[in-house]
Amino acid sequence: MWIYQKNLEYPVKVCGPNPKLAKVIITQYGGPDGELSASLRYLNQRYSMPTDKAKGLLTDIGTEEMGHMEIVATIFYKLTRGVSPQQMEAAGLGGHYAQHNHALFWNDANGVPWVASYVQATGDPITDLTEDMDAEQKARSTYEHLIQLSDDPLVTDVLKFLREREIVHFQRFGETLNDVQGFMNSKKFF
Amino acid sequence: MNYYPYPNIPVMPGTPPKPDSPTLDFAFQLAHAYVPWQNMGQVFSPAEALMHGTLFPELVMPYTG
Amino acid sequence: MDNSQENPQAQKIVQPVKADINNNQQAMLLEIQQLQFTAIELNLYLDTHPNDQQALMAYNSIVPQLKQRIASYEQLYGPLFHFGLSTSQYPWQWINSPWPWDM
Repeated sequence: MWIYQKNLEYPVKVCGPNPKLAKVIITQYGGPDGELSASLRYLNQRYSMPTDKAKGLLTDIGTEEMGHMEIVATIFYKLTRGVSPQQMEAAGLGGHYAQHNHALFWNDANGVPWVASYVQATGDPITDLTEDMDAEQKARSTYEHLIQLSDDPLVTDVLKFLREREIVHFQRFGETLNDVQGFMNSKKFF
Repeated sequence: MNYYPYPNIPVMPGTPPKPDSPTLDFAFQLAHAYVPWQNMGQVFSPAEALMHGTLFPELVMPYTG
Repeated sequence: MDNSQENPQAQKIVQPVKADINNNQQAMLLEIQQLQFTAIELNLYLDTHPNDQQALMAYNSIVPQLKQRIASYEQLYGPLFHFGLSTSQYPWQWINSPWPWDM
């Protein structure tokens, strides 16, 4: 079960419409290393985790990532609000406008739609937790690229928050990997 | 920043896992990945935590470009 | 980003996003966001350090503060939660604007 809370995890403000910036930021909504991939990956891997700590952590980080997806969606929504079709087209969002108008859609910065093969669940907790750490690093790198591309200081502020979350999540997944490896080793001797 | 310096040294390689871990005779193994354990010490105020993106000063690793 | 290459059409997009809610609501929400973020951080830490008494005490001390701020907010601006976790005044307030993405 999930409960919706009617506020963002972190407040989102933008300086004004900026479809060019929106076009690249959308990759953290529906790109390979985006927040949809992250939340679905963790929430789906929970079921095959061997320890209660790992089940708890994947539940909690997966839930937080859904909140991050909402933050990225809000950035895109605000950056494209009131933008004309011609302005969308000029910013490289003509294809987006043709298919989706101003609606949100899960695709990457080049318009490639999200696919489930961005995520994996092998059922091996060591492998899956290692993928999760890898995913956090890829998302961190992407946020750094977006910070480089951003010409809106208010958006950059939010991107920095989201980037820092990847670092904290990496630490927690790493601790969980330590713990699960210890658990798997202890099982070998009983 | 409004916090006091404190001795929060992550547990580095060569030290055993946290006390609640099942293996007490811990040894690092080849071809395994490990992350140093964090030990919580002094933390940010709620306002500072949200600004930094973490509650924990030792995890603040800002992007410098 | 190289702004010299900015296309001229983009310059015409100047209408700022309208902040259509009053500042007190955003200020109260910010306090909730700050306390809840602290709870999120402690929660994730406790997931991997369940025996850390200091972290647990910190978590448990945030909970009543957060609940109190949420109750004050809901009194003025309506439910923050659906599905039975918040009550509503008449008429049903859950559907009231602004939604988070419009704040």
